[in-house]
Amino acid sequence: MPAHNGNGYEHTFEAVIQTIDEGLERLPSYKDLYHKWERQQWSVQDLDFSLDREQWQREMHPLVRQQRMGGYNGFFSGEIDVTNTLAPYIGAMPRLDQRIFLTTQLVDEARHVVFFDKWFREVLGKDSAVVGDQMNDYESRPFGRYIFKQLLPDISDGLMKHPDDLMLLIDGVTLYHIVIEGALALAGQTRILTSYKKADVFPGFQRGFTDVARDESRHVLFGVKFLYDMVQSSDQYAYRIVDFINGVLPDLYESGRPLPELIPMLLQTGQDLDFAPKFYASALRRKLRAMGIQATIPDPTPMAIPADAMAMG
Amino acid sequence: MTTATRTNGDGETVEAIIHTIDEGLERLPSYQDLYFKWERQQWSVNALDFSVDREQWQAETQELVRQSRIAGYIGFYAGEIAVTDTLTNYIEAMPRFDQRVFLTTQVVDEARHAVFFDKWFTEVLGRDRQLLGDQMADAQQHMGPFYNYIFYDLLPGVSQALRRNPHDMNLLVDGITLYHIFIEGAMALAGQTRMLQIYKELGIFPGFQKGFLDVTRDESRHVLFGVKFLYDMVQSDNKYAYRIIDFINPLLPDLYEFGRPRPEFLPGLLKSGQDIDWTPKFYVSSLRRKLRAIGIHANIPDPKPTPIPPEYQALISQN
Repeated sequence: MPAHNGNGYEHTFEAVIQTIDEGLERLPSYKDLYHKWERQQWSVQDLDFSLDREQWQREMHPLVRQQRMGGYNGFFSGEIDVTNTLAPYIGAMPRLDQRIFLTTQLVDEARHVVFFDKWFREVLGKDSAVVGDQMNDYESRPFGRYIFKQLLPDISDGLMKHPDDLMLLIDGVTLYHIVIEGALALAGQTRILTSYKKADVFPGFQRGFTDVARDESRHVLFGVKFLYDMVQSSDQYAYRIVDFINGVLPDLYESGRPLPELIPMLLQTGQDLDFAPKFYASALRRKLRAMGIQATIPDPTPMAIPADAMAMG
Repeated sequence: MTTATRTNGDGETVEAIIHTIDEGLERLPSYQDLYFKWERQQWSVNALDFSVDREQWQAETQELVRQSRIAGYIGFYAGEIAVTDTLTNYIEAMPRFDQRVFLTTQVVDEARHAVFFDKWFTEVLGRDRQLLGDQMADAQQHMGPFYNYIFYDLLPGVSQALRRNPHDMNLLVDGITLYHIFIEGAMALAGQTRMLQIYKELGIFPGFQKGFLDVTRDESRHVLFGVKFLYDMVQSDNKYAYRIIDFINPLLPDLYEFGRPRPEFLPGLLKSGQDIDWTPKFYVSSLRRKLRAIGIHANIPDPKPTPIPPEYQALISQN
């Protein structure tokens, strides 16, 4: 496993994951996380996508292109949604050191949008008048739509109206930091970065997306620390967190299954069809344990392979 | 006047930052330009070294000087906490995504400024605390009525109203006029300029000077954002120009009064030949330049000179 360098700046995705796991064992303070943000600055405008653009323009299997576009759209749209919904969380946080950390998270999310905006403009050739405009007509899959266009804005609006509602804040952090960033996004980042590294493509994207993942490792640790503190203050919050996660779990697992048209290609290349749901279960278990919650997260049911694709498996 | 505009902070002066603002007012940057400027102008509170500052603070023996400086630190520290806590509602209310993206950089700047003052209070003034910001729990008792009105009444009032009515553009124009033009572009900039010039002249507090210059550079971006936003609003509808003027005018008399030195500091200032009306004059000049850049032709009245008590008249003639 790659080690970190001296200033706590992880250069590989594996090191970022290791940092999260270490953080879960020994939760940092809110102030530690703020200072880590100061040390881990990066700049979208420093990224060089010239080689990436050449590689994108080369011939590519249509299904590979489709799969990659699905990932970019999902992340770009998601980053816009989380940027637009986090501000009310800041107003709802009871302590100034918590609010200060969340301001770092908010600017991180905005920077991630700027990162994808640059990717879409410079590599995919999709320009925009205002940053983020490229996602105006994007339609995500049903679970993504539910999470990002309904549940997340509803909780955010609720916190805007009722900033003292701690139960709602618990729901919000469980959704944002644990389910979305700690499971959904982390699985996607792992999958994308591992496959690009293996295929040795898109060096500019790999660098920037590792920076994105590093930012999100701090956010996830903040979420776990906040929920740990809440559970320590009252056991009722542990039940609230588990109830919230259980409510979204079946659809979360389902959302991690590949699109039917991609299954033959995934099987041909020896990929695990259940990678994402298994990742979700494992990620959620580790986070709950770190919050001090003993709860069973059921395993996802293995995906049924269609009969016509059996031979490839 | 220094006119160099370095971006890396090395050797940069407060005059150069003010010059950068003035240049920006002549040719307003886009919201995205301001975002990228933020990326290039990163700095770290953690990297500041206050060891010399601490020695110099402990060596200061004049109680009046100490009091005057502490009042300035409290004003800025409490102000940074107040603006950190009120800005998020502005983000929600901004109609365009690139405007919201810029404001996320501003809110993290404000938070970093609070961390900067926390470090100063903890490491130099020796005022430790349980939680960051605790040192300012009773700040209102140390500040005057105008300061308390602006930071603990008007600013939270506008912010809460924006939280309830995020689509109210008149309210957003009021909010930006208050926050970016009045507080950051006049009140704070005057205090920053004065403190940095004095500390530089005296050759003291090198760590504070470096950090406070970083703070000022951050705020120069915020001010330009505010001017750009209000310029765009005035371009879209002339009614906003009247709104901005109507917001600023009623605050002016108390602002000018706020900028006058406290009576106990007058003899010292007069003896050292300082202009006791420096701050109100700075406010008026600063507001005029911003209004012009917003595209508003309006008359901002000059402040009246501070009356000098007869017993201090002799001090003037000594200079």
